[in-house]
Amino acid sequence: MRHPTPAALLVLPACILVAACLILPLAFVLAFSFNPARPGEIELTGELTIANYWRFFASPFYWKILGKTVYLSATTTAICAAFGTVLALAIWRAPASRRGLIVIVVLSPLLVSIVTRTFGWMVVLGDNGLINAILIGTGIVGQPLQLMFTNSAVIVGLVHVFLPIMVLPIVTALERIDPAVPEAAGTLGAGPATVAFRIVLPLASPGLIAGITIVFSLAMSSYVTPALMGGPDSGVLTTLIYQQFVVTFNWQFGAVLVAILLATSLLAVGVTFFEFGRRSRAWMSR
Amino acid sequence: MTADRLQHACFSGLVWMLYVFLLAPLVCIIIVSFNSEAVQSFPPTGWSLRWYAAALNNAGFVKGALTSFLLAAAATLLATPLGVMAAVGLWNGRWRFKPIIEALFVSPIIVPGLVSGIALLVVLASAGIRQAPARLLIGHMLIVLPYVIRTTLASLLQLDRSLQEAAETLGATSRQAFFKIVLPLIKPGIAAGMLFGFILSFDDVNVSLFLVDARTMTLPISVMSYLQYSFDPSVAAISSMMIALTFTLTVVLERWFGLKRLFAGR
Amino acid sequence: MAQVELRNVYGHYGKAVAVNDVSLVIRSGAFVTLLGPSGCGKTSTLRIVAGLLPVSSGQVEFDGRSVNRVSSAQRNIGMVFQSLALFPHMTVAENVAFGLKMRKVAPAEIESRVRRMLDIVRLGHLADRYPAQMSGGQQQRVALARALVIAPSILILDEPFGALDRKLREAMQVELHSLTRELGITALFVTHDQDEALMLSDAIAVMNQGCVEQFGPPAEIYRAPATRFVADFMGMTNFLSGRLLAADQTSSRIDIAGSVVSGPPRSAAVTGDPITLAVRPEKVTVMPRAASGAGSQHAAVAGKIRQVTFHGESLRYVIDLDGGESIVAIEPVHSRENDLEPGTSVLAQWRSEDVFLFAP
Repeated sequence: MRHPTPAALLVLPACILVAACLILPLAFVLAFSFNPARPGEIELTGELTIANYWRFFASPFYWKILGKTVYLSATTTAICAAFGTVLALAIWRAPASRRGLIVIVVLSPLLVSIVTRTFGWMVVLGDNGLINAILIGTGIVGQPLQLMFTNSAVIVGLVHVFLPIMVLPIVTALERIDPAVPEAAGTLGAGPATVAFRIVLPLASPGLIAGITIVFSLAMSSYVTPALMGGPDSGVLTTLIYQQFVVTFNWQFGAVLVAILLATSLLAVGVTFFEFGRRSRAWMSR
Repeated sequence: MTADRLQHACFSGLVWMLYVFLLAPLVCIIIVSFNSEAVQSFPPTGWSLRWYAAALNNAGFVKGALTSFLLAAAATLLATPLGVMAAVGLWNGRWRFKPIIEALFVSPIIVPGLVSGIALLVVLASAGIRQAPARLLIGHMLIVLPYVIRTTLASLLQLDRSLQEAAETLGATSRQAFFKIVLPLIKPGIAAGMLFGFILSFDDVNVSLFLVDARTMTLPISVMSYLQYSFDPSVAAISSMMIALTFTLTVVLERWFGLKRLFAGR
Repeated sequence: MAQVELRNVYGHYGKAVAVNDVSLVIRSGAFVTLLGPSGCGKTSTLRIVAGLLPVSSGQVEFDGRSVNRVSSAQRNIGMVFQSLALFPHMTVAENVAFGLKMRKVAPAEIESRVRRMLDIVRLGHLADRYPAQMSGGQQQRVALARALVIAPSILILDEPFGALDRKLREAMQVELHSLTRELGITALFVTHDQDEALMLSDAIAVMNQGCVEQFGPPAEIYRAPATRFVADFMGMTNFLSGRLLAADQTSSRIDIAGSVVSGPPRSAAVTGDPITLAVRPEKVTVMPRAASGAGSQHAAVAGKIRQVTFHGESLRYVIDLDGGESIVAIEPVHSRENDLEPGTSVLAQWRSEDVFLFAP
């Protein structure tokens, strides 16, 4: 060992922090979800039951909520995928002088608090907001349109929040492409659209897949945007979780919801990677 | 040639619309914050700074800002030494189970913030720890840690390993070589991770949501609570100040380290 | 096969001039190489012909028709890139078929043409592999096949063999030579390696700082360099400064550091002018000064050996001449009984017909 302090020792404190403060608690929550539901009780007991899970899966109400959450997340992810690809291509093809500026424009919203960003949309979509002001001002409508507190409003807010996150891995994948490859396609007679769809995008697809899995996960577990843009009964899993932990104090059931949330995200991620991995293993060089 | 030009024009048009989409809400907030009326209307009927004064006088906001700042600072200062040591350990270590350790350090980023917060809440409550500051500190250290590890490791990987060896052949001990040669060279990476972690901690809502209580609130959560009951431009004012702060820090980060590298990790 | 002509072509990267008034004719079926050091403009010129770099001014013509405004997709070129640029997500067969697909050739015809071309480059059995699964030499041949199958007007190659090891490189050079002659293809090749250029080309354009210093058949470039740069680049690396004492139609006399040597005829020079004398190291022989009695046909300059190095078949002597300059001589290993040591006083000799004169 070159370094007097063995590497294992250096890594230990951080490992302990993460294991004790994240992994263990997650396991705890999972165990907790199998405890019988006793609102107000927050001690882990040895009694195991699947009653809480049963309560969830037996009720159409909860299925509806899960369905709506998945629907909002999937729609957001699809829109982000399409527009994120466009933005990533724009960054990739931008001349070096402008690229820094574009990156700042695209990525800086990520460093602004989600509350602020969502609030911005409330300003834009509100009854007195930008859109309605334009519509009324130009006479297109006489009354302000109800844009807030709809599913579309939630989707718009989520897309705004997650679009920059989708852009990043796609740009990284694009930068791994040998620039001579699209040039070669051009010399062989391909027009710009053909080059984009047949050459560039397939080669950037690992980044697209990564982006899709990240955004879907994050969208599923998003609380602020659905709560503010969709209203208090926006009907998504996260607001339900909030109610369980902060209002009704049914932590055991809340734990179930958390477990289901995590499971759904992991399932989607797993399926995507498996499908994709199967198809691209042959040509991806390591 | 014109078919190509048309395609290019459509593409550019779409891109510009997306830029507008990304920036519009933030710009609107700033515009509204200068409104002289109480309603957040477009266009503002008059211009005034009264909402900035109101925001600065709002005890909830001020206290929240202080709490957020102290929390972010404390979390960053505590997580950084752990993170740097972990990164150096990863850089030097030759174990077969390295991918597991790497996965462990990435997990706070993968696990949704909401879930992390809840998990901490449940475990700490069970253990009898109910003070919000302690819970928040632990939760926020988990926010900062993975990014410090990432940026420090990225800096280390770019370093030529033979630098340390050269120092040793010239007579330095391993410790001296590390502190005099390696550490100064990775300082920018560490600093970038710290700055980034600070920003994310300051902005955080998801982790903090379940860890705050009535007496200890972070700024974003203060703002969110306020928003759920009232709707006046003082929110716009405090938000504008937060936007200004983060934009400045973003530009610094981009020049220094590169935003893409921060998020992409490599 | 097309004839390609460049007339007074200028090309820029931003403000920097990369191609500086280049005029060239690449005759149909000819193999032309652009040769020069990095930054000389050879790759930029190539990219102009390919349509990947716009022409700032001047004309580029394929078979007499201007292609200045024609995109590279429309020029019907087959290009092999330095990094090969194979499509990683397509099989070998799909890579080769791509250009034909873009030209909307019927699928049955695509299949037969691809198969034929793969047989020509001896890759028929690997048609369904991906580029990542192939060796460097095989990837090279895929790139060639992809460029050739579309029957391009001109085959353009940008230093394609640079990354290969020597053995593979030589094999590919031989293969390229026979393939292009067999198919009668017009080819434009870029390299910085003079041996490669000499071997492959019907004509070589030696480039420097965006300009063509000399354009002609390999033998002419090698034996009769037109400028000092070309001489230096082609291996004629001994340059001695002297003064012209006399010159006429048959010979000249030059004073080099006190010794008088004879050289080739030189017109348009004034006696007394400073002049540079160039000679290849391989043409310089070394004689110990003690045994002097040099024949009058040999020019001779005196000096002392500074360094001797061994190169397998030859010995290389660095000789410090009495006048202060140095000269390099390369001799076959067994040309004398006792090897000469550093420090020996010697005479460096050459025949006057092996010398070139340049302005200083």
